Amino acid sequence: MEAELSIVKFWDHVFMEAISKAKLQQLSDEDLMEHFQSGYEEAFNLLVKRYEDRLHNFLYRYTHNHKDCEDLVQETFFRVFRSRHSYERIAKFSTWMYTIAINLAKSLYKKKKRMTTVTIHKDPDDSEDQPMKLEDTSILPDDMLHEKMCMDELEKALMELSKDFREVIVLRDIQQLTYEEIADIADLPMGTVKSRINRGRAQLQELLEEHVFPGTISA
Amino acid sequence: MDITKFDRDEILTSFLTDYIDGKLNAGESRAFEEYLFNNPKEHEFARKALKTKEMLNRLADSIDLSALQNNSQLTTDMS
Repeated sequence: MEAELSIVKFWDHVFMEAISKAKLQQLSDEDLMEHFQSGYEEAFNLLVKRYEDRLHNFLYRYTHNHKDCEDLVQETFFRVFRSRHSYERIAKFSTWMYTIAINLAKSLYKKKKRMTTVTIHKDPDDSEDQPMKLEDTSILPDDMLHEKMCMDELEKALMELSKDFREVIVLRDIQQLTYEEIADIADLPMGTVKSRINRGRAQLQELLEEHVFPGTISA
Repeated sequence: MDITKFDRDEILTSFLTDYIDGKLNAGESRAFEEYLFNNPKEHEFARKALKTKEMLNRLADSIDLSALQNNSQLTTDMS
């Protein structure tokens, strides 16, 4: 009798698990992330399944090396796992994850470039050979202050922009991705991406002009 | 913000994008600038977009991209 009961319980558990897995599969990425943040690791596994191939293809455009791609995909998911609590639902999961991946790819590229860079030493036997002066004197402190204020205003204006515009602008102008990559990440047609970027930039300028001369711009 | 021809015409949008990215050749640039000269609303739109693009480039230069990786405000808020 007891054995029968435990078999029922076992199948009940298996059945419930199958149901919840099927339900999970229907959830959006952001919902899965929320489940994962609450401690349900199966949600993370589903996100990995959803994105590992797409992420690999995406990264291959950068690296042209499948081994590097595999490492980067693994590292990206590791960071998603580790930083799960810093993800906020205001961002699309895919955008957040692709941003992590793209930054890892850029770091790898920089690291590889550094490894192939030849160091130039000063020739001690050559009196004409002077060490290069790297200090940039073209920007005066006042200009630097002004520049800092402009950048602060720009960041503030960027936060005021609607999410649809901000996403593509950050990917294009800050992350410097190609339009094709942005279309992939945001899951939008190329024409829409370009149009949103241009409109977003124009709106950003209006916001900036509004900050400097409030009330002079018509919406 | 006013609706412009850029909102309805994908080819025009592509021209504007390439113009801002500096991808048009001299002849194309001249033709596009002439178009803008004759279309004040589109001219104003392009001016704003171009100006912001230049500022955003400077912002990008001032940002440590690796810091963005750890979900700074710009990254988390961006979509």
